[in-house]
Formats: sequence, structure tokens, C-alpha cells
Amino acid sequence: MADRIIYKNHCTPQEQLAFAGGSRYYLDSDCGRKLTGNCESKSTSIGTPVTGTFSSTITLTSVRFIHVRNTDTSGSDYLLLNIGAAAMGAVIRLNYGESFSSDVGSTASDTTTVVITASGTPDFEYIKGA
Amino acid sequence: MPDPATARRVIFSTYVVPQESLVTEEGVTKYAMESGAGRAYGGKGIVTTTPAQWGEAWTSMNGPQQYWENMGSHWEDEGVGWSGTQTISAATSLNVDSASASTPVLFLYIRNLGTESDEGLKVSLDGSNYMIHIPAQGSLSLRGDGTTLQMEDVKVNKSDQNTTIEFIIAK
Repeated sequence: MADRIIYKNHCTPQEQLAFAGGSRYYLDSDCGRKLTGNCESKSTSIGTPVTGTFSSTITLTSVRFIHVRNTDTSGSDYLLLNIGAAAMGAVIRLNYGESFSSDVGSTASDTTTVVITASGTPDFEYIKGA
Repeated sequence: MPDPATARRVIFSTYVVPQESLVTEEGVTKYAMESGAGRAYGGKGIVTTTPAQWGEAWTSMNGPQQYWENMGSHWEDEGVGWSGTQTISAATSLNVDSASASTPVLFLYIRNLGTESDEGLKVSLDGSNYMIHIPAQGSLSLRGDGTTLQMEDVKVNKSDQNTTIEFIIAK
């Protein structure tokens, strides 16, 4: 029995145009369409899903795929992700309801470290692929 | 005719399906939801970006009527859809405007249009360490922290063979 992870990242860029009768959001005219990617992760092993309320820094080692979600449903608490524990620190922000899902490590076989910190005490869930 | 955009935003989402293989008595391999994970995972958010972006290159996308010399054609006669790709053969910055190099990235989306397994893409968020990998046909979306992640920090490079990408890098 082998594990695999299929994942998709999708975005819909929009712009707001103001009319005399009101304003609405439309598909962004600079981008022209939605963008979607769908692929199979390089990860061949899926860790047990972890849920909780953030209280202290979480360090995940030997990671090939990571899915992290801020499972709060409202509020201003957010998660911060540092991929690779690079010197510059955590640069990916997850507000309530948002998630980050991606292969990590520089090549199709590498692993790396993922560090999760937060502002406040948001609820979270994550899955690590190895 | 409406005024130019008064606001911009990006709705983004991720969707993850953990699977495990099952081999039938007939020797056929099928995939089902991974029993430990038990379900699909995902999330969704909205990033409010700046109405006036840093330049034309904030997205690789362009339309058939983008250039005035093409305006002689009637839009209803055009069969060309929106597209726009960038070939990646070496370390490449997605921000080509030195004036905005230190501007925080509010939203980043990159899609790897490669089709072969050796056409992977690696991404750096600090300008030198490539810690994210996008397989062929895969993509990446993220909200920047609003301060530390700046335009000049985002670079991409091929993992093995040359590939092409679509992207949005918004302030």
C-alpha cells in the first residue's frame, strides 16, 4: 500500500469598478482569468493530521509536503510559516480560514524544515508529508 | 464607461486529497482516501491588494487587446484567450521594477506549466534559499506577511529542465 497526495492551488483575481449605480467586483482585467494548478505531491508518506490551539513554536522536520490551515472562523489571530527555517524568518501569513499547501524542499526529492509561529492563539490543523 | 479599478482583491484556496493505494484481487491498483487522514483538506481566503499595482508585469497574463497596435481587430473577431507565460531557464526574479524591490508582497501565485516530471520549479522567498518545489502542472499560492517578504525576495529557478510559468505577484 502506497500513499500519495493530490493537491490544488486556485486563485480568482478580481477588481472593483465603480458605476453610478454602485460598485461590483469583476474578474481582474489585467489577469483575464482564474488560475489553477493541480498535481501530485512528491511525498510518498502521509503523517497523522494534527489539530490544536497554538501555544508555542511548532517545528516540523524532514518535510516534503505541508498543508497548514488556520481553522479559526473569525478574528485577527493568524499563523506564520517559515519554510526551510531560513534566516529571514516567517513570511507566509494565514488569516482565519486560509491554508497553505505545497511541496517543500528545493528538488523533487529534498526535505526541509517548516516552522509555525503565530500572532495570538489561533486554532490550526496541519498534515505533513514525508 | 466605468472608472479604472477602485480596488483589487484575490480569492485564493487550496485543496488537498490524501490517498492510499489498494490492489484488487485482479491486481488492479486503485486509490482511495487515506485512512489516517480520513477526508480532504483545504482552506480559502481573500487578500485585498493595491488598486494601482507596481507595474504591468505584476502578472504574466495579457490579453489580445493589450497593445494599441492590435486594436484594429474587433474583439468579437478575436479567438485568442488570455495567456502569458515566462520561460524559466535560470534564477529569475518576478519583480522587474527596481523602484518596488522593497515593497512587501501581499499575494503570490505561481503555476508551473511544465508537463514532464523533470520540469519542476523551485521557489525562493528570501532571494537565495530555494525551499519550495512546484511539480509540473502544480501551483503555489500564498499571502505575504506584509513586511518581511518583499518583491526582491521572490525568485524562481528550474529544478532540472527549463519550464514555463504563469504568475501573479501583487503588492
